[in-house]
Amino acid sequence: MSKKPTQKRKPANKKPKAKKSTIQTKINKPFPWKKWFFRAVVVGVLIFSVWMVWLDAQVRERFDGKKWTLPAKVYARPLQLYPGKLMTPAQLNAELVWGDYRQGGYPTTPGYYFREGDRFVIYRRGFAFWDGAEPTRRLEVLIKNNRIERILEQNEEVALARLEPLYIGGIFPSHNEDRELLRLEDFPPELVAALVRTEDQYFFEHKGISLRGIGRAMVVNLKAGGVVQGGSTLTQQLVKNFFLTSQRSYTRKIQEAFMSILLELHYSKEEILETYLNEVYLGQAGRRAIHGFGLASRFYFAKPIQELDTAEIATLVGMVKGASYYNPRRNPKRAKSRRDIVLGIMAEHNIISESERLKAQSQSINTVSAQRAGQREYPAFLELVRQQLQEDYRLVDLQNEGLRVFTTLDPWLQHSVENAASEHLQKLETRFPQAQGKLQTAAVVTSTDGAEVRALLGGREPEYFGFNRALNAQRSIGSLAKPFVYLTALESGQWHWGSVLSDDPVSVSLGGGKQWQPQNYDKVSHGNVSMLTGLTQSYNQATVRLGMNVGLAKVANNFNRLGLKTDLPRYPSILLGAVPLSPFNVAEMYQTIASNGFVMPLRSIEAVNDARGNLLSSYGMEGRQEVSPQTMQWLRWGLEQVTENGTARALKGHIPLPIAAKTGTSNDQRDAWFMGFDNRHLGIVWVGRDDNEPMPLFGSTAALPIWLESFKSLGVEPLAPATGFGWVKVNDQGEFVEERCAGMLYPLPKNQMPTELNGCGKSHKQEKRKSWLDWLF
Amino acid sequence: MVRLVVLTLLLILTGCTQKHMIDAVDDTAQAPLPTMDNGRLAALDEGESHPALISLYQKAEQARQAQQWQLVFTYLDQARQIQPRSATVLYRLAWASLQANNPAQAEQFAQRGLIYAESGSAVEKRLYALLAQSLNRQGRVMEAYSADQKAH
Repeated sequence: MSKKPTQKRKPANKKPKAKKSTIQTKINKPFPWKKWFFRAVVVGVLIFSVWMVWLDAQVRERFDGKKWTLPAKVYARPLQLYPGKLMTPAQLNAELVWGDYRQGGYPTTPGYYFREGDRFVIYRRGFAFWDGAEPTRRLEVLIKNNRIERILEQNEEVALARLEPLYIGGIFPSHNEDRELLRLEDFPPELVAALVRTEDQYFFEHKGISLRGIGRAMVVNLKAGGVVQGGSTLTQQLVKNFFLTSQRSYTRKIQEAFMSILLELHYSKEEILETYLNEVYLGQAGRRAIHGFGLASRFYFAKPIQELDTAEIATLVGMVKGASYYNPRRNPKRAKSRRDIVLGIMAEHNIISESERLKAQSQSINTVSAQRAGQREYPAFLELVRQQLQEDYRLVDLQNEGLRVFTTLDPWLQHSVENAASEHLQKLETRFPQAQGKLQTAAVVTSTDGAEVRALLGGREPEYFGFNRALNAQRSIGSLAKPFVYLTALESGQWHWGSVLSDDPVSVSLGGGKQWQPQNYDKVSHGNVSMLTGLTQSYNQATVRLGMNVGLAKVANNFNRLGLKTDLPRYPSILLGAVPLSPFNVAEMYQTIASNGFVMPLRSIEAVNDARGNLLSSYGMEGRQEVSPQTMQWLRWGLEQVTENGTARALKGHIPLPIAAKTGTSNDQRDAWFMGFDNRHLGIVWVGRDDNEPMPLFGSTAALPIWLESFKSLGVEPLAPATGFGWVKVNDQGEFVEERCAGMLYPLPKNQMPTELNGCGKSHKQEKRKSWLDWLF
Repeated sequence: MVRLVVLTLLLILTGCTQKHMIDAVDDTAQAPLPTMDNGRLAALDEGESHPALISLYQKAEQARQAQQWQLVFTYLDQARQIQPRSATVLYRLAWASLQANNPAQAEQFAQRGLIYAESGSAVEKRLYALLAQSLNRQGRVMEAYSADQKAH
């Protein structure tokens, strides 16, 4: 019995037994370490190989292709020099200083100048202008009575020369990196040698990583009790900056080491060194990251790299260890002690002699201001440039292709406007403490004939990127709208400057039983006044009456004809400037008046070159005749009287020359405006508060002085006298009368001169109510 | 009808009496004019001008001969910036625009030149001739005819 179950169980257990046996065998059998190790090695090698191939591809792709995205470099206009040009010695001197020229004895190298009173000898650097590269030139410039009298080069008369333009900013990609690319042979050998000896003395011996370097760093660090020296080679540093993040981890360190080896396998030491010299981060200028020794040299010392002295070279090399920590501007003591260490290394390795080291060490750290003209940016103007460039270029190309953009900015004028605005706002805030820190300003200056934008002020802190009031603030233009009303009247042929307007209270029906009753600023009505007085004294009641008479639609249409791109609502209040516009919009319209009726888009760009210097596009003057030159000159005569005896007569005491001008103050004195132009430039100035609150100021007290100071430093050229006009006497009834009669002389286009004049007796108004012009129209 | 006739006469009169402001610093407006060839300028650098302008005209002429019109305009525009109210600079710009097949631009430069050309001067007549050509090229035959009348 007992066997049966066993026997019976046997077949049943057969299979499990066999299984057990297999497992047993497997358990008992030793794990095939070798086999798995082999497999793991194979897989590892495979993964490693793939990784290496990937790293290699990364290294080669980046190094073979375009290494850097190059922001567009934007330049101001070059300073043209020719006999007869209006130019003060102060301006020429300032432009040279801003252009990083150094004053000294008779110049023997480019970048230096000599000045003796009004005589300058300038060793101009070579420069690739948009219309061709020009070599270095040594020019002697003689100024007499604020005009260039002669220009000489090797005792030969020169008809035309120009200084290289100032760098005024870049159009950067999001990382904001900027650099000046140089070839290895452009760097001073002392700088290259000092860098190698200081950062990686075995650079020319190792293959990307240096065990000796690591060992030496470990010893130094152990001795110091902390990390004072890194073991990274220049190649590793370049790999870290070029390919990797600044994250500190072993994985990244390993990746860095392999990439360094790969880099050295594919590229020569010279190529690696050149890339390093252009790549290394050496400081920050606002949003702009300074990369490479080329740009750093200009940024800290206002010199091209070839002109650096030993102490300056050592300072820059010292900064590689920590651009912020050893920043010579912010931390001059640290920078000096680091510089002296570098100088010691240079002397130790015979890059410089011991006496050179001592001489360099005795020098203090002398950097130039980060805010100086040659390196600071002009954000408001740059915004305009960028907007206008984007009509023809893609932003990505502007940010990456190293384009060179030559603009119309006149740095002398820009600085004049900035200084005038800053000083005047301070004065106003001292006088009106309640406005302390609240006043803002904006300005646009253009050339009257070509519509080139010569200066643009976006706010009282011109170096900061922020709200650009010149382009984007929409503010009521107040009385700056009035000339458009008077232009409409003059164009109609029914009105002239002697025509009589009533400045009595006026009421305009707005429909729905509503009435609009504008008043003069002084709340006084002036009875009958001439049209000229209406404009020069900026009378609201007279202007509204005239505007309604000539037709609201015609006035609104004239804003558009003269350059305004948006349509205005047909509200009567537009006659008094209840029109929100930017200073730039206002400049566009007044440009047409200043340029004899030609509507011209305001232009900030002269030309664009690619990175190789090829001319891609150039932008000349454009325009179309919209209003007859004669009508514009007639209007201009009225605007000249504003400075002669109107609301801008304050100018006359300072500039007793014919200048066309108009003041403007919006409702409740929220905006103060001034517009003025001479023979060369048109300037629009706005002063107000960002919160649009009232100010105790007017156009004539807030904006006019800024215009005045700016134009004084520029040099005012009087408006050329208008021609094609006859003079006719007009009595207080607005009638043309004989010359012997009482009345005032007004200009009249010769083709509108009256054929008959009234006598001096009683008014002929009733009898001659309809003139031949009335009949005609 | 009578009013229309009078108005037309008036408009013609306005055109004839358009006066021209002469820039006080513009010496080229008085300078002898370049040689003409069938009503056209033979070369951009002909005639007498301020030495600075001559230097730019010479460059412009070289560029014109090389058919580099962008450069032609950039040199002439530099000349215009030096003497913005010179009828002869604007004449050259108009002429070059016509050569570069841009009659609309030529018309504008010619009109602008006419503002500064001395009344009755040779440059005024030549500007009218250029204006007529540029208007003709735009198919504005009547206006071209009117300009051409003033050119003679």
